[in-house]
Amino acid sequence: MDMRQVAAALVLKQLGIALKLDQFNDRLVIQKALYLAQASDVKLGYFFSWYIRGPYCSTVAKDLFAALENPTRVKLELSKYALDAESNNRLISLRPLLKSSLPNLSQPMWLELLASVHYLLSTKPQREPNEKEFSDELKGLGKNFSPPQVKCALVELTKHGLIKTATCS
Amino acid sequence: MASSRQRLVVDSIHGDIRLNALESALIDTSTFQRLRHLKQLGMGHFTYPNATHTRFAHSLGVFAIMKRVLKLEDNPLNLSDTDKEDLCIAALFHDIGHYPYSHLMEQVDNVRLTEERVSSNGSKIEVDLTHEKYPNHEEVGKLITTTQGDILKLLDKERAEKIANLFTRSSVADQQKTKLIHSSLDMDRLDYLLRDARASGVPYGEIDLNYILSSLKVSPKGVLGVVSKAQTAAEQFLFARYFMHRAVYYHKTTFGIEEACRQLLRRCRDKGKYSVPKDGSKIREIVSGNKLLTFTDSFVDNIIRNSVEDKDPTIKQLAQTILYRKPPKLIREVCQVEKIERQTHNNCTTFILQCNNNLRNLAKKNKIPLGLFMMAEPKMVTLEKRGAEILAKNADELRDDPGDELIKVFDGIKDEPDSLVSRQDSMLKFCGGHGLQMARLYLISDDETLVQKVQKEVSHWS
Repeated sequence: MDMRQVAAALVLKQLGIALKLDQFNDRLVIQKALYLAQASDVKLGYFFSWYIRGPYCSTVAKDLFAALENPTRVKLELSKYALDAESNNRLISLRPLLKSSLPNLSQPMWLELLASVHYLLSTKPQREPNEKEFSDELKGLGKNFSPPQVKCALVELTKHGLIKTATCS
Repeated sequence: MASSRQRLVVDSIHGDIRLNALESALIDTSTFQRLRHLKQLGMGHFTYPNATHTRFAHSLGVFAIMKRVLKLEDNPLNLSDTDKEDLCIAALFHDIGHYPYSHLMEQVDNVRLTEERVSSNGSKIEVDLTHEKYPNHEEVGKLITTTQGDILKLLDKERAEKIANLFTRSSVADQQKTKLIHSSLDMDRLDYLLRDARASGVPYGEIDLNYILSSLKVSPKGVLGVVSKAQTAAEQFLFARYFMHRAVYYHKTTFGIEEACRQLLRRCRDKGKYSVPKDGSKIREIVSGNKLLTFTDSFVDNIIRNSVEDKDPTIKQLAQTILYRKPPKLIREVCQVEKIERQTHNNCTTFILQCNNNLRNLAKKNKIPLGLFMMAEPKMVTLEKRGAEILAKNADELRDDPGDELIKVFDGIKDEPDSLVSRQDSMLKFCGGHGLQMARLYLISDDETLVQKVQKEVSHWS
């Protein structure tokens, strides 16, 4: 395992995300969780770009597939390392964000929504967040999130300090 | 101002490459010319003396391939002339952000020192995630394209950003277009396999490039693939990539020297020596300013030269290994072919754990500084990213998974192509989804007797 794989595994552990890649949704949750961790200033060094289900980093996938070839070894290696205190605290405070705040939205969908909204905002930082506009833009990209769902995502992202202010019209 | 001159460049792989006035002016910029001073194969020339070809040549090669792809008869994406020009420039610029010596410097943050790997005193090593990591070369490429003055004189800021988004896949709006650069039949790979093989002098990378390119087709949904008669060429391409990894990219001598360089850069950076950029913010400063032009292989050569007389004996010896070409000795290598998605303990992981447990005592017993041992785990080499059974199980979901950018083949009946690994008549149905895993232990030493003694001891580890 290299340092980046160690760091990613430690971050996921701190976020309470299972280190498994069996199903597509497992991989999606990991991608979005690491994206949001970076968005909260935990500097992992991954570069995310856009794919069908929102921000995606191929290196994340490669790193974790490589690391998870042997779960016993992962456990042994991780036991030698600990995150710095500042990053640790940030991740602890991020944990509540990762649980879906909407009753009819699963965790993978919730994380996809959060990460997608954050990514769209970050590509145009001067933009004022507007739930209707974002919902329409996401629909244009093949995602079906309603304005109230987007609003909830904006509020939660703001509450956890990942975006500055959400003014929901 | 853009030159009004069109140009013809003669390339050893693609023959004549024609550039329009804008493309010609772009390659004439100092920013692009920097690529002449970055070797495509990093330190590969230590093993294959002629492997000194540059990122400049390779970038032109990818550009040439893109030009050919865009001349395909069908235009299902309804690309305008400007779209096509943007894609060509994106292909030209796809490697503009590369670090000195290819991926060596880029990966410094990932390097684990041997002392850290075999740590046994119970205290934990802190992983600091508060400092910026070195950005990857795609991100650097985007920064360069959108900040360097000579590029912005030719492309306005908006267009520069659009092109950067194409080659970094950052564009939310242009998914179909970005797929043309990053599709299953990767244009990057199509060029570098052939180029690297011919420069190295090995036959393993010889692919039927012309046939693959002339057999390309884009489906109504914008998926790139080959027609079925080119399936053999496509399969051979995947096997060629696998063999090039074994023979060239992961050659034990090249890999050993590169690992020594990675360890050296990490140690120098930790000690604040010889201008190794301390973190990602420093890299960003370099690549968005006028120091970019010095950010070439010479940047690392200078670090190595300065380190040769360092007071730290490990730094000194790592530097001498590279400068005087005294490659690290391979103490032991363990290789295994495995299913990619199989999570089990195998010979490679056993060997790594043995190193973790025994290396400290081995070093102490033979009075060798621990830092002169290097453990290396090259990334798994796969034929295709997924196997047929995984595809069959998760077909619907994997459509959305970029990891599923597999080679596609048109069967002549359906509009959309199938993955090569799922075809009944493809060897990839059985080999796809497997990969070669390696684990190596090197020692930096000139003492043949000592090396043989250590090899013998390691061979007895149980």
